[in-house]
Amino acid sequence: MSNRLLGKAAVVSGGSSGIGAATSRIFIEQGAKVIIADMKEPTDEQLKKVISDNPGSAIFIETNVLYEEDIKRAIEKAVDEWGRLDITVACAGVPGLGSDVDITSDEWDKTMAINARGVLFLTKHAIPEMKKTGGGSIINISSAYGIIGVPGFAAYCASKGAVRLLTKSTALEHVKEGIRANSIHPGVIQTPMLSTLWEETENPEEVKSAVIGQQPSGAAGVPEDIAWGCVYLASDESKFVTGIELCIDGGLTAK
Amino acid sequence: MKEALRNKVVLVTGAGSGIGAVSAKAIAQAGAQVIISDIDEKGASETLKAIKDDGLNADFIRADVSSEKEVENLIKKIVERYGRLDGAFNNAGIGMNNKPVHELTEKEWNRVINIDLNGVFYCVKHEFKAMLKCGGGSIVNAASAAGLRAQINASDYVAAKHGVVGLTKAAAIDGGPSNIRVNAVCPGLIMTPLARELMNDEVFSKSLDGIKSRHIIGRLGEPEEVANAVIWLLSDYTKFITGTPLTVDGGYSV
Repeated sequence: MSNRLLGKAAVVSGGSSGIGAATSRIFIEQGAKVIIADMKEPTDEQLKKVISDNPGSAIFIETNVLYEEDIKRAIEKAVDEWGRLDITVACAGVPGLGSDVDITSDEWDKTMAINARGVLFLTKHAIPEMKKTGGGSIINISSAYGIIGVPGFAAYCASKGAVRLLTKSTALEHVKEGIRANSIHPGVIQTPMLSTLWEETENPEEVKSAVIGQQPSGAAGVPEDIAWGCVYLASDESKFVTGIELCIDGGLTAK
Repeated sequence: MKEALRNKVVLVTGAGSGIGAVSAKAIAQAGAQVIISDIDEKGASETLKAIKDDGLNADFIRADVSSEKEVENLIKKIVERYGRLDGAFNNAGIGMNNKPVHELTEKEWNRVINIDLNGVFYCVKHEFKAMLKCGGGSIVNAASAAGLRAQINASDYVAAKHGVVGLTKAAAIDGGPSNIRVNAVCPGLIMTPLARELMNDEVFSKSLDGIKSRHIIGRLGEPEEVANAVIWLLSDYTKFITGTPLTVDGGYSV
Protein backbone atom coordinates (compact mmCIF):
# COMPACT_ATOMS: atom_id res chain seq x y z
CA MET A 1 0.00 0.00 0.00
CA SER A 2 2.87 2.33 -0.68
CA ASN A 3 3.06 5.14 -3.22
CA ARG A 4 -0.39 6.49 -2.44
CA LEU A 5 1.11 10.01 -2.76
CA LEU A 6 3.59 9.43 -5.56
CA GLY A 7 4.62 12.61 -7.36
CA LYS A 8 2.87 14.96 -4.94
CA ALA A 9 4.55 17.88 -3.17
CA ALA A 10 3.52 18.83 0.36
CA VAL A 11 4.20 21.45 3.01
CA VAL A 12 3.75 20.28 6.60
CA SER A 13 3.80 23.01 9.26
CA GLY A 14 4.96 21.72 12.62
CA GLY A 15 6.46 18.83 10.67
CA SER A 16 9.45 18.16 12.91
CA SER A 17 7.74 16.58 15.91
CA GLY A 18 4.63 14.80 17.11
CA ILE A 19 1.77 14.41 14.65
CA GLY A 20 3.64 16.56 12.11
CA ALA A 21 6.71 14.31 12.21
CA ALA A 22 4.65 11.15 11.74
CA THR A 23 2.84 12.81 8.85
CA SER A 24 6.07 13.96 7.18
CA ARG A 25 7.55 10.48 7.57
CA ILE A 26 4.57 8.54 6.21
CA PHE A 27 4.12 11.05 3.36
CA ILE A 28 7.74 10.42 2.31
CA GLU A 29 7.21 6.65 2.59
CA GLN A 30 4.13 7.02 0.37
CA GLY A 31 6.12 8.77 -2.35
CA ALA A 32 5.54 12.47 -1.60
CA LYS A 33 8.13 15.25 -1.41
CA VAL A 34 7.80 17.21 1.81
CA ILE A 35 8.76 20.67 3.02
CA ILE A 36 9.10 20.35 6.78
CA ALA A 37 8.19 23.83 8.03
CA ASP A 38 8.96 24.10 11.71
CA MET A 39 10.89 26.18 14.22
CA LYS A 40 13.38 23.40 14.89
CA GLU A 41 14.88 20.71 12.68
CA PRO A 42 13.42 17.22 13.03
CA THR A 43 14.43 15.47 16.24
CA ASP A 44 12.20 12.44 15.68
CA GLU A 45 14.53 9.47 15.04
CA GLN A 46 12.18 7.61 12.71
CA LEU A 47 11.67 10.73 10.60
CA LYS A 48 15.42 11.40 10.44
CA LYS A 49 16.02 7.84 9.24
CA VAL A 50 13.36 8.04 6.50
CA ILE A 51 14.84 11.34 5.30
CA SER A 52 18.34 9.87 5.07
CA ASP A 53 17.00 6.72 3.36
CA ASN A 54 15.18 8.85 0.75
CA PRO A 55 17.57 11.59 -0.36
CA GLY A 56 15.86 14.59 -1.93
CA SER A 57 12.48 13.73 -0.45
CA ALA A 58 12.40 16.34 2.31
CA ILE A 59 13.63 19.86 2.96
CA PHE A 60 13.55 21.58 6.32
CA ILE A 61 12.66 25.29 6.29
CA GLU A 62 12.85 27.19 9.56
CA THR A 63 9.33 28.52 9.98
CA ASN A 64 7.49 30.33 12.72
CA VAL A 65 3.80 30.30 11.81
CA LEU A 66 3.39 33.63 13.63
CA TYR A 67 5.10 35.24 10.64
CA GLU A 68 3.38 35.29 7.28
CA GLU A 69 6.73 35.76 5.50
CA ASP A 70 8.04 32.50 6.95
CA ILE A 71 5.05 30.56 5.66
CA LYS A 72 5.25 32.21 2.27
CA ARG A 73 8.89 31.16 2.03
CA ALA A 74 8.07 27.55 2.90
CA ILE A 75 5.46 27.40 0.13
CA GLU A 76 7.82 29.06 -2.36
CA LYS A 77 10.48 26.49 -1.53
CA ALA A 78 8.17 23.62 -2.56
CA VAL A 79 7.39 25.32 -5.87
CA ASP A 80 11.04 26.22 -6.53
CA GLU A 81 12.23 22.69 -5.82
CA TRP A 82 9.48 20.56 -7.26
CA GLY A 83 7.52 22.91 -9.49
CA ARG A 84 4.22 22.34 -7.70
CA LEU A 85 2.27 22.26 -4.46
CA ASP A 86 -0.38 19.57 -4.01
CA ILE A 87 -0.87 19.22 -0.26
CA THR A 88 -0.65 21.34 2.88
CA VAL A 89 -0.95 19.95 6.38
CA ALA A 90 -1.33 22.61 9.09
CA CYS A 91 -0.02 20.88 12.16
CA ALA A 92 1.83 23.58 14.11
CA GLY A 93 0.06 24.34 17.36
CA VAL A 94 0.30 25.12 21.05
CA PRO A 95 -1.86 23.92 23.96
CA GLY A 96 -2.71 27.48 25.09
CA LEU A 97 -3.28 26.82 28.76
CA GLY A 98 -5.73 28.83 30.80
CA SER A 99 -9.44 29.01 31.56
CA ASP A 100 -11.70 31.83 30.46
CA VAL A 101 -11.24 33.70 33.76
CA ASP A 102 -7.50 33.34 34.24
CA ILE A 103 -6.06 33.44 30.73
CA THR A 104 -4.00 36.54 29.98
CA SER A 105 -4.64 38.68 26.96
CA ASP A 106 -1.19 37.82 25.62
CA GLU A 107 -1.70 34.09 25.99
CA TRP A 108 -5.07 34.29 24.24
CA ASP A 109 -3.62 36.31 21.36
CA LYS A 110 -0.62 34.04 20.99
CA THR A 111 -2.73 30.88 20.97
CA MET A 112 -5.12 32.31 18.40
CA ALA A 113 -2.22 33.57 16.28
CA ILE A 114 -0.40 30.24 16.19
CA ASN A 115 -3.33 27.82 16.11
CA ALA A 116 -5.78 29.76 13.93
CA ARG A 117 -4.03 32.61 12.06
CA GLY A 118 -1.07 30.34 11.23
CA VAL A 119 -3.49 27.97 9.50
CA LEU A 120 -4.98 30.88 7.57
CA PHE A 121 -1.52 31.98 6.35
CA LEU A 122 -0.74 28.48 5.09
CA THR A 123 -4.05 28.31 3.23
CA LYS A 124 -3.70 31.85 1.89
CA HIS A 125 -0.32 31.22 0.27
CA ALA A 126 -1.03 27.66 -0.83
CA ILE A 127 -4.18 28.46 -2.83
CA PRO A 128 -2.50 30.49 -5.64
CA GLU A 129 0.05 27.71 -6.19
CA MET A 130 -2.56 24.95 -6.14
CA LYS A 131 -4.65 26.86 -8.68
CA LYS A 132 -1.74 26.77 -11.13
CA THR A 133 -1.75 22.97 -11.29
CA GLY A 134 -5.54 22.58 -11.22
CA GLY A 135 -6.08 21.74 -7.58
CA GLY A 136 -4.81 20.37 -4.31
CA SER A 137 -5.69 19.11 -0.87
CA ILE A 138 -5.63 21.33 2.22
CA ILE A 139 -5.60 19.43 5.50
CA ASN A 140 -5.93 21.37 8.73
CA ILE A 141 -5.33 19.71 12.07
CA SER A 142 -8.02 20.97 14.42
CA SER A 143 -8.89 18.90 17.48
CA ALA A 144 -11.71 16.92 19.08
CA TYR A 145 -11.69 20.02 21.30
CA GLY A 146 -12.59 22.08 18.24
CA ILE A 147 -15.96 20.28 18.36
CA ILE A 148 -16.53 19.73 22.09
CA GLY A 149 -15.35 21.88 24.98
CA VAL A 150 -12.94 21.13 27.80
CA PRO A 151 -12.39 23.15 30.98
CA GLY A 152 -9.11 25.01 31.33
CA PHE A 153 -8.40 25.42 27.62
CA ALA A 154 -10.47 28.43 26.56
CA ALA A 155 -8.10 29.72 23.90
CA TYR A 156 -7.19 26.24 22.65
CA CYS A 157 -10.85 25.29 22.10
CA ALA A 158 -11.64 28.65 20.51
CA SER A 159 -8.66 28.44 18.16
CA LYS A 160 -9.40 24.85 17.14
CA GLY A 161 -13.08 25.71 16.58
CA ALA A 162 -11.89 28.52 14.34
CA VAL A 163 -9.82 26.07 12.30
CA ARG A 164 -12.85 23.82 11.84
CA LEU A 165 -14.94 26.58 10.25
CA LEU A 166 -12.06 28.26 8.40
CA THR A 167 -11.57 24.92 6.66
CA LYS A 168 -15.22 24.65 5.62
CA SER A 169 -15.09 28.21 4.24
CA THR A 170 -12.00 27.31 2.24
CA ALA A 171 -13.76 24.20 0.92
CA LEU A 172 -16.70 26.25 -0.32
CA GLU A 173 -14.61 29.11 -1.66
CA HIS A 174 -12.17 27.07 -3.75
CA VAL A 175 -14.06 23.98 -4.81
CA LYS A 176 -14.39 25.25 -8.38
CA GLU A 177 -10.59 25.48 -8.53
CA GLY A 178 -10.23 21.78 -7.76
CA ILE A 179 -9.01 22.45 -4.25
CA ARG A 180 -10.35 20.29 -1.45
CA ALA A 181 -10.15 21.36 2.20
CA ASN A 182 -10.85 19.14 5.19
CA SER A 183 -10.14 19.25 8.92
CA ILE A 184 -8.94 16.43 11.14
CA HIS A 185 -9.98 16.27 14.79
CA PRO A 186 -7.58 14.17 16.85
CA GLY A 187 -8.54 12.97 20.30
CA VAL A 188 -5.89 12.59 23.00
CA ILE A 189 -2.71 11.62 21.14
CA GLN A 190 0.68 10.79 22.68
CA THR A 191 2.83 13.70 21.49
CA PRO A 192 5.52 15.94 22.97
CA MET A 193 2.89 18.72 23.14
CA LEU A 194 0.57 16.52 25.20
CA SER A 195 3.33 15.69 27.68
CA THR A 196 3.83 19.40 28.39
CA LEU A 197 0.39 19.35 30.02
CA TRP A 198 1.66 17.34 32.99
CA GLU A 199 5.47 17.57 32.95
CA GLU A 200 5.58 20.84 34.86
CA THR A 201 2.78 20.04 37.29
CA GLU A 202 3.06 19.00 40.93
CA ASN A 203 1.44 15.62 40.39
CA PRO A 204 2.17 14.61 36.79
CA GLU A 205 0.82 11.04 37.04
CA GLU A 206 -2.55 12.28 38.28
CA VAL A 207 -2.84 14.93 35.55
CA LYS A 208 -1.73 12.44 32.92
CA SER A 209 -4.35 9.87 33.87
CA ALA A 210 -7.04 12.59 33.99
CA VAL A 211 -6.12 13.75 30.47
CA ILE A 212 -5.93 10.27 28.96
CA GLY A 213 -9.00 9.25 30.96
CA GLN A 214 -11.03 11.50 28.65
CA GLN A 215 -10.80 8.72 26.03
CA PRO A 216 -13.72 6.26 26.10
CA SER A 217 -11.30 3.35 25.68
CA GLY A 218 -8.95 4.74 28.35
CA ALA A 219 -6.06 4.78 25.90
CA ALA A 220 -4.50 7.62 23.94
CA GLY A 221 -3.83 7.39 20.23
CA VAL A 222 -0.45 7.65 18.50
CA PRO A 223 0.69 10.26 15.93
CA GLU A 224 0.53 7.65 13.14
CA ASP A 225 -3.24 7.35 13.64
CA ILE A 226 -3.54 10.97 12.51
CA ALA A 227 -0.87 10.68 9.82
CA TRP A 228 -2.86 7.92 8.07
CA GLY A 229 -5.89 10.23 8.08
CA CYS A 230 -3.74 12.84 6.35
CA VAL A 231 -2.69 10.26 3.75
CA TYR A 232 -6.33 9.41 3.00
CA LEU A 233 -7.32 13.07 2.62
CA ALA A 234 -4.17 13.93 0.63
CA SER A 235 -4.56 11.04 -1.81
CA ASP A 236 -6.87 10.73 -4.79
CA GLU A 237 -8.81 8.06 -2.87
CA SER A 238 -10.74 10.94 -1.27
CA LYS A 239 -11.32 13.01 -4.41
CA PHE A 240 -15.07 13.31 -3.65
CA VAL A 241 -14.35 14.45 -0.08
CA THR A 242 -14.30 18.14 0.81
CA GLY A 243 -15.45 20.25 3.74
CA ILE A 244 -15.56 17.30 6.14
CA GLU A 245 -14.48 17.10 9.75
CA LEU A 246 -12.70 13.80 10.18
CA CYS A 247 -12.65 12.74 13.82
CA ILE A 248 -9.76 10.41 14.69
CA ASP A 249 -10.48 10.35 18.36
CA GLY A 250 -11.22 6.85 19.62
CA GLY A 251 -14.88 7.79 20.09
CA LEU A 252 -14.23 10.94 22.16
CA THR A 253 -16.71 13.14 20.27
CA ALA A 254 -19.26 10.32 19.91
CA LYS A 255 -19.67 10.29 23.66
CA MET B 1 -5.30 0.01 -0.88
CA LYS B 2 -3.95 -3.43 -1.89
CA GLU B 3 -3.27 -5.76 1.04
CA ALA B 4 -5.09 -3.42 3.46
CA LEU B 5 -7.54 -6.20 4.43
CA ARG B 6 -5.36 -9.27 4.01
CA ASN B 7 -6.72 -12.34 5.85
CA LYS B 8 -9.76 -10.52 7.18
CA VAL B 9 -13.24 -12.08 7.00
CA VAL B 10 -15.62 -9.33 5.92
CA LEU B 11 -19.41 -9.27 5.42
CA VAL B 12 -21.06 -6.87 2.94
CA THR B 13 -24.86 -6.64 3.01
CA GLY B 14 -26.75 -5.29 0.03
CA ALA B 15 -23.90 -6.50 -2.17
CA GLY B 16 -26.14 -7.28 -5.14
CA SER B 17 -25.93 -3.79 -6.62
CA GLY B 18 -24.63 -0.24 -6.36
CA ILE B 19 -22.23 0.80 -3.63
CA GLY B 20 -22.44 -2.67 -2.00
CA ALA B 21 -21.44 -4.51 -5.18
CA VAL B 22 -18.54 -2.19 -5.94
CA SER B 23 -17.39 -2.25 -2.31
CA ALA B 24 -17.55 -6.05 -2.13
CA LYS B 25 -15.28 -6.28 -5.19
CA ALA B 26 -12.86 -3.67 -3.82
CA ILE B 27 -12.80 -5.38 -0.40
CA ALA B 28 -11.94 -8.69 -2.08
CA GLN B 29 -9.20 -6.93 -4.08
CA ALA B 30 -7.84 -5.55 -0.80
CA GLY B 31 -7.20 -9.14 0.30
CA ALA B 32 -10.27 -10.04 2.36
CA GLN B 33 -12.43 -13.14 2.33
CA VAL B 34 -15.74 -11.49 1.43
CA ILE B 35 -19.17 -12.80 2.29
CA ILE B 36 -21.79 -11.05 0.23
CA SER B 37 -25.40 -10.94 1.27
CA ASP B 38 -28.57 -9.61 -0.32
CA ILE B 39 -32.19 -10.55 -0.98
CA ASP B 40 -31.47 -9.99 -4.67
CA GLU B 41 -29.99 -13.37 -5.57
CA LYS B 42 -29.50 -12.46 -9.23
CA GLY B 43 -27.54 -9.30 -8.42
CA ALA B 44 -25.54 -11.07 -5.74
CA SER B 45 -24.61 -13.88 -8.12
CA GLU B 46 -23.27 -11.29 -10.59
CA THR B 47 -21.14 -9.70 -7.84
CA LEU B 48 -19.95 -13.16 -6.81
CA LYS B 49 -19.01 -14.06 -10.37
CA ALA B 50 -17.12 -10.80 -10.92
CA ILE B 51 -15.05 -11.41 -7.78
CA LYS B 52 -14.34 -15.06 -8.64
CA ASP B 53 -13.43 -14.13 -12.24
CA ASP B 54 -10.64 -12.04 -10.70
CA GLY B 55 -9.41 -15.19 -8.96
CA LEU B 56 -10.45 -13.88 -5.55
CA ASN B 57 -12.42 -15.32 -2.65
CA ALA B 58 -16.12 -14.70 -2.08
CA ASP B 59 -19.17 -16.46 -0.77
CA PHE B 60 -22.90 -15.68 -0.93
CA ILE B 61 -25.37 -16.10 1.93
CA ARG B 62 -28.89 -14.82 1.38
CA ALA B 63 -30.48 -12.73 4.13
CA ASP B 64 -33.20 -10.13 4.54
CA VAL B 65 -31.73 -7.59 6.97
CA SER B 66 -35.19 -6.53 8.16
CA SER B 67 -35.55 -9.95 9.80
CA GLU B 68 -33.46 -10.40 12.93
CA LYS B 69 -33.74 -14.18 12.62
CA GLU B 70 -32.23 -14.11 9.13
CA VAL B 71 -29.42 -11.79 10.21
CA GLU B 72 -28.65 -14.02 13.19
CA ASN B 73 -28.45 -17.05 10.88
CA LEU B 74 -26.27 -15.16 8.41
CA ILE B 75 -23.67 -14.32 11.06
CA LYS B 76 -23.84 -17.86 12.50
CA LYS B 77 -23.13 -19.34 9.09
CA ILE B 78 -20.17 -17.02 8.55
CA VAL B 79 -18.63 -18.02 11.87
CA GLU B 80 -19.29 -21.72 11.13
CA ARG B 81 -17.61 -21.50 7.74
CA TYR B 82 -14.73 -19.13 8.47
CA GLY B 83 -14.29 -19.32 12.23
CA ARG B 84 -14.44 -15.57 12.74
CA LEU B 85 -15.76 -12.17 11.62
CA ASP B 86 -13.32 -9.26 11.38
CA GLY B 87 -15.26 -6.66 9.47
CA ALA B 88 -18.70 -5.76 8.18
CA PHE B 89 -20.14 -3.17 5.82
CA ASN B 90 -23.84 -2.88 6.74
CA ASN B 91 -24.92 -1.40 3.46
CA ALA B 92 -28.31 -2.91 2.62
CA GLY B 93 -30.96 -0.23 2.35
CA ILE B 94 -33.75 1.32 0.35
CA GLY B 95 -34.58 4.87 -0.67
CA MET B 96 -37.23 7.30 0.51
CA ASN B 97 -40.92 7.28 -0.45
CA ASN B 98 -40.62 10.76 -1.99
CA LYS B 99 -43.52 12.25 -0.05
CA PRO B 100 -43.88 15.13 2.38
CA VAL B 101 -44.20 14.00 5.97
CA HIS B 102 -48.00 14.45 6.18
CA GLU B 103 -48.60 12.14 3.22
CA LEU B 104 -46.47 9.22 4.44
CA THR B 105 -48.50 6.18 5.50
CA GLU B 106 -47.58 4.13 8.53
CA LYS B 107 -46.72 1.24 6.23
CA GLU B 108 -44.42 3.33 4.04
CA TRP B 109 -42.65 4.81 7.06
CA ASN B 110 -42.22 1.42 8.73
CA ARG B 111 -40.74 -0.18 5.63
CA VAL B 112 -37.93 2.39 5.41
CA ILE B 113 -37.26 2.27 9.15
CA ASN B 114 -37.33 -1.56 9.16
CA ILE B 115 -34.77 -1.92 6.43
CA ASP B 116 -32.58 1.18 6.75
CA LEU B 117 -32.43 1.46 10.55
CA ASN B 118 -33.64 -1.76 12.19
CA GLY B 119 -31.70 -3.79 9.63
CA VAL B 120 -28.47 -2.04 10.64
CA PHE B 121 -29.28 -2.62 14.32
CA TYR B 122 -29.79 -6.38 13.79
CA CYS B 123 -26.52 -6.56 11.87
CA VAL B 124 -24.54 -4.57 14.46
CA LYS B 125 -26.02 -6.63 17.32
CA HIS B 126 -25.09 -10.02 15.89
CA GLU B 127 -21.77 -8.85 14.45
CA PHE B 128 -20.84 -7.69 17.96
CA LYS B 129 -21.59 -11.18 19.31
CA ALA B 130 -19.27 -12.75 16.73
CA MET B 131 -16.55 -10.11 17.11
CA LEU B 132 -16.55 -10.34 20.92
CA LYS B 133 -15.40 -13.95 20.47
CA CYS B 134 -12.49 -13.08 18.17
CA GLY B 135 -10.92 -10.12 19.95
CA GLY B 136 -12.61 -7.26 18.12
CA GLY B 137 -13.42 -6.02 14.66
CA SER B 138 -14.45 -3.08 12.54
CA ILE B 139 -18.04 -2.29 11.54
CA VAL B 140 -18.97 0.29 8.91
CA ASN B 141 -22.61 1.32 8.65
CA ALA B 142 -24.03 2.90 5.54
CA ALA B 143 -25.55 6.18 6.65
CA SER B 144 -25.83 9.06 4.21
CA ALA B 145 -25.33 12.81 3.90
CA ALA B 146 -29.07 12.61 4.74
CA GLY B 147 -27.94 11.27 8.11
CA LEU B 148 -26.38 14.68 8.79
CA ARG B 149 -28.64 17.10 6.89
CA ALA B 150 -32.31 17.06 5.90
CA GLN B 151 -33.74 17.19 2.41
CA ILE B 152 -37.23 17.64 0.99
CA ASN B 153 -39.76 14.77 0.81
CA ALA B 154 -37.49 12.39 2.67
CA SER B 155 -38.49 12.41 6.35
CA ASP B 156 -38.54 8.59 6.41
CA TYR B 157 -35.05 8.28 4.95
CA VAL B 158 -33.56 11.26 6.81
CA ALA B 159 -34.90 9.89 10.13
CA ALA B 160 -33.58 6.39 9.44
CA LYS B 161 -30.13 7.65 8.39
CA HIS B 162 -29.87 10.07 11.35
CA GLY B 163 -30.76 7.00 13.42
CA VAL B 164 -27.90 5.05 11.85
CA VAL B 165 -25.46 7.84 12.77
CA GLY B 166 -26.73 7.82 16.37
CA LEU B 167 -26.61 4.02 16.57
CA THR B 168 -23.05 4.13 15.20
CA LYS B 169 -21.86 6.54 17.89
CA ALA B 170 -23.60 4.67 20.71
CA ALA B 171 -22.38 1.25 19.54
CA ALA B 172 -18.85 2.68 19.26
CA ILE B 173 -18.95 3.54 22.96
CA ASP B 174 -20.24 0.05 23.81
CA GLY B 175 -17.60 -1.58 21.60
CA GLY B 176 -14.60 0.46 22.75
CA PRO B 177 -13.47 -1.76 25.63
CA SER B 178 -13.81 -4.87 23.43
CA ASN B 179 -11.78 -3.47 20.54
CA ILE B 180 -14.83 -3.30 18.28
CA ARG B 181 -14.81 -0.12 16.21
CA VAL B 182 -18.04 1.20 14.72
CA ASN B 183 -18.11 3.96 12.11
CA ALA B 184 -20.43 5.14 9.38
CA VAL B 185 -19.96 6.38 5.84
CA CYS B 186 -22.13 9.29 4.75
CA PRO B 187 -22.23 9.38 0.96
CA GLY B 188 -23.84 12.11 -1.05
CA LEU B 189 -25.83 11.16 -4.13
CA ILE B 190 -23.81 8.41 -5.79
CA MET B 191 -24.36 7.16 -9.32
CA THR B 192 -25.97 3.79 -8.54
CA PRO B 193 -29.03 1.92 -9.86
CA LEU B 194 -30.99 3.24 -6.83
CA ALA B 195 -30.02 6.83 -7.70
CA ARG B 196 -30.91 6.36 -11.37
CA GLU B 197 -34.29 4.96 -10.35
CA LEU B 198 -34.82 7.99 -8.10
CA MET B 199 -33.91 10.38 -10.90
CA ASN B 200 -36.67 8.88 -13.01
CA ASP B 201 -39.18 9.37 -10.22
CA GLU B 202 -41.56 12.20 -11.07
CA VAL B 203 -41.49 13.83 -7.62
CA PHE B 204 -37.77 13.31 -6.95
CA SER B 205 -36.71 14.64 -10.34
CA LYS B 206 -38.29 18.00 -9.45
CA SER B 207 -35.89 18.45 -6.53
CA LEU B 208 -32.94 16.85 -8.33
CA ASP B 209 -31.33 20.10 -9.50
CA GLY B 210 -31.37 21.47 -5.96
CA ILE B 211 -29.86 18.26 -4.57
CA LYS B 212 -27.24 18.13 -7.34
CA SER B 213 -26.18 21.73 -6.72
CA ARG B 214 -25.54 20.96 -3.03
CA HIS B 215 -22.69 18.71 -4.21
CA ILE B 216 -20.42 21.73 -4.45
CA ILE B 217 -17.72 19.70 -6.13
CA GLY B 218 -19.87 19.95 -9.26
CA ARG B 219 -20.69 16.30 -9.90
CA LEU B 220 -22.28 13.28 -8.26
CA GLY B 221 -20.12 10.61 -6.67
CA GLU B 222 -18.97 7.23 -7.93
CA PRO B 223 -19.40 4.03 -5.89
CA GLU B 224 -15.60 3.48 -5.93
CA GLU B 225 -15.17 6.71 -3.95
CA VAL B 226 -17.37 5.34 -1.17
CA ALA B 227 -15.62 1.95 -1.36
CA ASN B 228 -12.26 3.68 -0.76
CA ALA B 229 -13.57 5.12 2.51
CA VAL B 230 -15.15 1.81 3.57
CA ILE B 231 -11.93 -0.16 3.00
CA TRP B 232 -9.97 2.44 4.90
CA LEU B 233 -12.32 2.23 7.89
CA LEU B 234 -12.22 -1.59 7.83
CA SER B 235 -8.41 -1.58 7.79
CA ASP B 236 -5.97 -1.29 10.69
CA TYR B 237 -4.93 2.16 9.45
CA THR B 238 -7.93 3.53 11.31
CA LYS B 239 -7.50 1.75 14.63
CA PHE B 240 -8.07 5.01 16.57
CA ILE B 241 -11.19 5.95 14.58
CA THR B 242 -14.49 4.94 16.12
CA GLY B 243 -17.90 6.58 16.40
CA THR B 244 -17.15 8.73 13.37
CA PRO B 245 -19.49 9.45 10.48
CA LEU B 246 -17.04 9.69 7.55
CA THR B 247 -18.53 11.94 4.92
CA VAL B 248 -17.95 11.25 1.21
CA ASP B 249 -20.35 13.70 -0.33
CA GLY B 250 -18.64 16.18 -2.62
CA GLY B 251 -19.29 18.91 -0.06
CA TYR B 252 -23.08 18.29 0.22
CA SER B 253 -23.13 18.73 4.00
CA VAL B 254 -20.77 21.75 4.23
